[in-house]
Amino acid sequence: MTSTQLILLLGPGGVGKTTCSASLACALATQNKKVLVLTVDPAKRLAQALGFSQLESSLQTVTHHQIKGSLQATWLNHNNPLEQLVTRHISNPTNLKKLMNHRFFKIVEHQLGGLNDYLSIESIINYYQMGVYDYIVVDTPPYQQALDFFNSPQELIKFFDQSILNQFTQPTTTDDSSNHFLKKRLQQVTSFGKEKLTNTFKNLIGKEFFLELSEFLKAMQPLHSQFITQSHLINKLLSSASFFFVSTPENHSLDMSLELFKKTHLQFQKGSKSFIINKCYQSSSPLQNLSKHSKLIELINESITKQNTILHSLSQINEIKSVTQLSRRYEKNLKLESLLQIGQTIKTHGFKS
Amino acid sequence: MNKIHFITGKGGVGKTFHSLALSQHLATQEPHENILIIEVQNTQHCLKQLKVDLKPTGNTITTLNNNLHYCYLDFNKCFQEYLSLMLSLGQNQKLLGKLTSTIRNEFAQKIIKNKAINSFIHACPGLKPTSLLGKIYFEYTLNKWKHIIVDCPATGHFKQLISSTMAMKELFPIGPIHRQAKAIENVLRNDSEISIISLAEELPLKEAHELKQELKEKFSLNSEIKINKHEHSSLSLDNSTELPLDLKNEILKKNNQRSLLEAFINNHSLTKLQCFPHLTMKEINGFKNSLDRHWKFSS
Repeated sequence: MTSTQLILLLGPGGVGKTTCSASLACALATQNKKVLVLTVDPAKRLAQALGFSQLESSLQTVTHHQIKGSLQATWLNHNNPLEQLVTRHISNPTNLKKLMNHRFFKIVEHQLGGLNDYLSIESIINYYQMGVYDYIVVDTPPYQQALDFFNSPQELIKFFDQSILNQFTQPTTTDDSSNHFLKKRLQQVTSFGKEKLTNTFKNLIGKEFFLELSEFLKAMQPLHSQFITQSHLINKLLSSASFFFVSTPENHSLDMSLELFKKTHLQFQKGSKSFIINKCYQSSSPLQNLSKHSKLIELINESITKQNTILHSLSQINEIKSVTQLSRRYEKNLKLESLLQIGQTIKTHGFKS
Repeated sequence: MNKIHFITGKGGVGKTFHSLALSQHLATQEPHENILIIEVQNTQHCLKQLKVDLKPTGNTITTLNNNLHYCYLDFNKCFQEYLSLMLSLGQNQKLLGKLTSTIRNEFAQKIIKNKAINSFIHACPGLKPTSLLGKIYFEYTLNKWKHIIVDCPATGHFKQLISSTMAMKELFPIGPIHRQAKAIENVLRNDSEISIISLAEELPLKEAHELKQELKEKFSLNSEIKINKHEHSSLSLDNSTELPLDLKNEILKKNNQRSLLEAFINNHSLTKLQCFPHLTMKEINGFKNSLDRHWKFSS
């Protein structure tokens, strides 16, 4: 195993996860460390701050005189994820062609959530196994999706598990005879055995559907063992990762971050967990003595009070290693210097090594 | 004509508040009609915001006051109900079509408890959103509710809710599931109103507009963007020199939002958007009042 440290940032959408990820990566790279930042959000504003015209899915190197180590950035992006997956893992060209022409292929590609996530997980594992980085900082998809993100191999295993379908594709042994009286049928139904149940379900959905699905899944089989290996690996990596939960000082976003925190803590107890409260007001006391008591001031005062309550209640939770408070920024054009400054704050508060 | 109102938008823009305000407004306006609020997620945000001490179970309809009713969706129950409905419509009519609904329910319950079927249900793409939407559609077909207000999940999951029903239509080219999906599509297109709630800020506006376009292009569905927490008046900074810098910036930002919104309307050649005011806690506390206020200001 390498000594790469995995750092993950989680939180609802729009709280500044991507900016915080990039900032922390910048700050870590100032101290002679090799850092890689993986982002799901290709925001132009951020790309420009890092010195690129846009973020690409290949590795891009960030240069700045304060960066003593090295910093690379990449955008986790996958067009046609299913196509990428099957071409990577299915070597027989005839099978591959048959699979990609299957009626289900396009439908599944669009409907089966988690394919993109899964490919991102594969990338994370690959970069980790390269062993050249001291830190890999991962920006995750917003909220609920982040929960699905790490479970994506598991979910895919479930979907591509052929054995479940076998029960539906085997020929029906007994057919319902339609000559019974209704009363007898009622008795039948309420005392249905396992086989009858699956048969009825099969009839309801349509036998052809199951045959088609089974054919499709059989062709996808080589992926199944791959999913199992990767699922095992990512869980191992995550159990020693550090987690940062990003939120704004609003009840709505804090609720979501706290839920993410609880779920992550249940699954990965060992890793350190910290909070970043972004977009805070610097003032901690409500404004007074304003002759013109406008509604806007009242709204701002409410926000300040809320912010205080939130910061206080977070500090009461033992499992949280640290809480970093970041102030609201009003700059239109984000600069690398700002990122370094934000990152330094996160590093000193939440990243004592 | 009965109507379904879908309320969606980016996280934290006020979807639930808007759903509640709209339902309250409709319930007051049409006191002799029944109104139902459906919360798609099982988080019960509606009840939390209303601060009522009710603990209903999923898929059970609770009366909030007079003609206003509430229900949150529970996926397993939705699927069971959906299945039970399918059983009555299904190809297996010879046997199952004649069963009473109680027995169909019991049977559906048994099917769900079967391990193999359960794995299939959870893995099959699109089945979950479809049965959630199926339940909403079912309530609609009862012809009991003049308005159904659906407090939907945020943009991404809302898209999934819509697109999976469309996919079910392709996945099952014939049969009861196909017919059901088609009927749902019909209601979405003809008897529904989709509202995308946004704030007058760059990112939520962009997301709202993208959703509006996608709904139009992919599914030929019309939707409307509505702006929440909007300030009609701007605050002059002249008298507030003693303000800290970040609060000054905050006020500037709020003042800017109006010009941002106007630019957005112009850039996307939209007609004027419906705007709702930013309410203070004091205003929200008299909840019923604030809901009326939410609507009064907008018109």
